[in-house]
Order: sequence, then structure tokens, then C-alpha cells
Amino acid sequence: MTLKTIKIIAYIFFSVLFSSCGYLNIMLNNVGDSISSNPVKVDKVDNPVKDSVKISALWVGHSTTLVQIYDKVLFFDPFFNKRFGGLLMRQYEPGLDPEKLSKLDYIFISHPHMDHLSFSTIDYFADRFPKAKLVFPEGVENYMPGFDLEMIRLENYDSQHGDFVGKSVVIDGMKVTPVYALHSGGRYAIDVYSWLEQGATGYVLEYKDAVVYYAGDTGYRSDAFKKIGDTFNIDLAIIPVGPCRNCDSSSFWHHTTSFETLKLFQDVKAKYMIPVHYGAARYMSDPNRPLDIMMQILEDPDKGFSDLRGRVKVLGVGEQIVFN
Amino acid sequence: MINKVVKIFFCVVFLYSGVSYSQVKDTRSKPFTKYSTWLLLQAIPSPGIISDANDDNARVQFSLKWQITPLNISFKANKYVSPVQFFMINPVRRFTGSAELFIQPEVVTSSFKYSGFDRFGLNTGARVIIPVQEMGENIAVSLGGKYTFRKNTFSGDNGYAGVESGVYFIGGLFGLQFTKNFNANNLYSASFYFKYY
Repeated sequence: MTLKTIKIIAYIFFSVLFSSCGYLNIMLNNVGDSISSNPVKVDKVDNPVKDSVKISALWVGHSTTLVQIYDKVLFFDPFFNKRFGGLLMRQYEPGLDPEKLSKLDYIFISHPHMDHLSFSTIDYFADRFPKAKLVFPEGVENYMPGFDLEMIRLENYDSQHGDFVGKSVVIDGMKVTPVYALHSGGRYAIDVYSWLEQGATGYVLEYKDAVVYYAGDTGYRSDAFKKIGDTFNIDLAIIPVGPCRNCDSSSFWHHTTSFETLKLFQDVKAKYMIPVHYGAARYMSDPNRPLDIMMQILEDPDKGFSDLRGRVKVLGVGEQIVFN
Repeated sequence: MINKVVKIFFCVVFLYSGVSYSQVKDTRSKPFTKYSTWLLLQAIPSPGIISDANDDNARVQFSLKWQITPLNISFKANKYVSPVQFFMINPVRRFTGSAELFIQPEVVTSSFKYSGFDRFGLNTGARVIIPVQEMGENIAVSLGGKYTFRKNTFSGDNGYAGVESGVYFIGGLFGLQFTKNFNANNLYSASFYFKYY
């Protein structure tokens, strides 16, 4: 093999490496943990489905949240695997024993990234709850096998590229509206960061007099979130915080920083907010850092978020909160 | 000439791959970027080894293979996507269970001095991909049959048949493939597998 041939192969290799550097950086940062450690054990509730409730939310970890709205029980982005993407070890075990779940009506997938869409988790719940509906935005169908439950694809072009609030559909009595999320689809590094494949959304769920907003993964865009806040009277917003480097300012466009999470909460004018998307995966540094900085900003009277104090509900992994 | 090609290649990949990961707040998909980078990624060879033997001597040769999949039929596609794909193969539909035709142009880096085969060969065949863990995303395996077109200057043969098995990881993008050929001079080959979509 000539030196020039080696050079060509090296150029190709490093070009691919650069294009997927974010993904590789996360993996390299976590090699040690992923090989040698185990997720920390957490306490779990015995009966996550309540008899009488307006809204309840149980944080399973990372973005996975079990929500009950009156008699409807649903998951946002259920992920119960030990490792993200088969490699990246989660810091805490899932905060729910899935066998303790007695009812499930919907599974909502916000986008197909490795930390939000788990094939084996959906397959498990499809076996246990075959009448549940699997709801996802356009583009995610390319990253899903055929599951043995009803799969419902939502049109979200308008919400992503037009008015920020998409066309509502009613699924088993619940009104589901896709809303804007500044994020991309894709799943395998280059299709995420370079091809910018479609397939990300937020959701607003309306059932009886309750309104729940799940932001999915998103960066911050003021006009979009103000529009969502003007359109809906949101009771509970589930909003991601981080990962971020400069968490106390605006920066990384794929995800809201600690500062932007609070701005987003202000914009959507929800009564309460639960932060998610921290703690489980060590992307770049301490997985709890985005939350810690968010709480520091919240407590600082000069930052302009004093009105949100008492409305930010930080849950521990496996903790459930009830709103009546 | 080759330096120019390398520079152009590098510029194209860098411009259309890395830059979009910057601070640009644009979430529209980029078809030109997608197809141009996909084509460039197909140029990445899968390195391997192949045996070179005669009655008296044997050794292994270093080889490079390129992975082309003209047709893939998925057994686990959902109702919104086609189970039949050509050339650009969605990983999920592949590793969750599928059958495919494949073509692998192959070149060895020096001559087959013992067996007398040509440096260039073309593997063609079909394989079935079976999911093992996480519906195949973490681990999938394959089993297939193939025919290698490769001239032998000593015997005048034009090729030989073989059976192939493989194991794949990380969305089926990376893997290892092993082949047993029905030819005493080229009995075994093993290679890495890399194919992005």
C-alpha cells in the first residue's frame, strides 16, 4: 500500500471523526464509567397509577416521565435501558419498576435520539399494553421498527417550520398538539449533526381541564415559546435543562442551557415546571451541573426569575408529584 | 493529481459535515449534504485479511473491501416506510431483521503469489441479518452465501463460492465478517465491516 493511499484513508477517517465529534466526545468521556460502574440504585414507588388525580408526574430519569392526567396514563420518551446507545452507562437506575405499572394508554416519543427512543423499552410495553398508542412526529418512522401496537405519526411540518403550533389530533379522547422544538432527528451521529434529519417535536396534551406541555429536547427560541404560551393555558411544563457548557447564558443551540430553561418556562407561562434531561447521562461534565446552575440563577434576585420560585418542582429519580 | 483529489474530498466533507454542528439555528434537513456525504462515506473501505496458499506455502494478505447493497428487504418495517430499499439502506430496517443482496469490490495490497489469483475481486451474494440484542441495534448477526469473481492465472479459474457470517454493532454500522471459501487456495477471509446507511 502506497503512502498516498494511506493518506487518503486517513483523511477520510478523520473527516468522519470530525463530523461526529460531539457524539464521540460524549462516548470518550464516559468509557471508564461505562465499563466499570453500575447505575446507582433508587427508591421506587409501588403504585405509580393513582385512583383519583388531575395531573401526576413521576420522573423515571433523564427525560423519561410517567404522567397521569385523570384516567389517562402516558410516558414521555420511555427509556429503561442500562446504557444509552448500548455504550453510555446511565448514572441512576430507572426510577420505576415497569412491572408495577398497571395501566398505560400512550407512549409519546419526541425524537429518535439514542437517549429518548429505546427499542427494547417500547417492545416491552407493547407486550404488556398492546392497546397503548405510540405517538411520534414525522421523521421518527425512519428510526423505528414495526412495533406490535398502534403507531400514530403526527404531521409536524407546520409546527417546526411555520406557526410553532401544529395541527391537533384527538387520540382516544385526548387532544394532542405537536409544538415547536429546536432540535433535529436522526440517530447515528452524522444524520443528527450533519444531515439534520427531521423528526423532533414538543407536545401539548389537553384532556378535560388539564394541559400538559412536554418540550422534548430543544434549544431556545423566544418567539416560538411565547406563541406556545399564548396559545395554551399550560398547567404543567416538562422542560429539559442542559447539557450545556456556558449554562448561565445562551449558547449551545441543540439544548436549552440552565438560563434558557427558565426563559422557556417564563415564555410558555405554565403554572408549574419539572426540569428533566439531566442527572442520568454524563455528557460533558457533572450530570447535575445544569440543574445546580439553574437553581442558582433562580435564587439570584438580579436575574429576573423571582416570579418562578416555588413553581419549579425538582423531582428526585423515582419521585412522583401530584397536582390537584 | 491525487493531492488535488484529496484536498477537494477533504474540503467537501468538512464543509458539509462539520459546519452544520455549529451555532446555526436551522433545523431543516439538507438533502445535498446528506447525499454528498453519504457518497463520500461509501468510499471508506473495510479492511481485512485473506488467505493465499498453494500446496507448499500459505500466508495472509491485507485487503480492502467496499460495501455496496443494491437491495435490502426488511422484515420489521413499520407501516409508514417501505420495506424495500436500494443502495442507501436505513440501519434500523436492516438490523431489526432483513435480507439483502450485496456486492463487495475487493483489492489486496500485493499479489497472490502462492495461489495465483488476481489482486482484484468482486464478491457478490445474499445474506440474512438477524437481530440479537436491542432488536439488533446493539448486536445483530448475519449468514449468507456468496460467489467471488477473481481470475486465477495459474489454474484459469474465474472464481469460487463461499459462505459468509457476520456480527454487527452500534446500529449495524460496524462489524466483523468471516468467510469460508470453497477453494483451497483462498480458504478463509476475515474483515471489518463499515457501512454508513
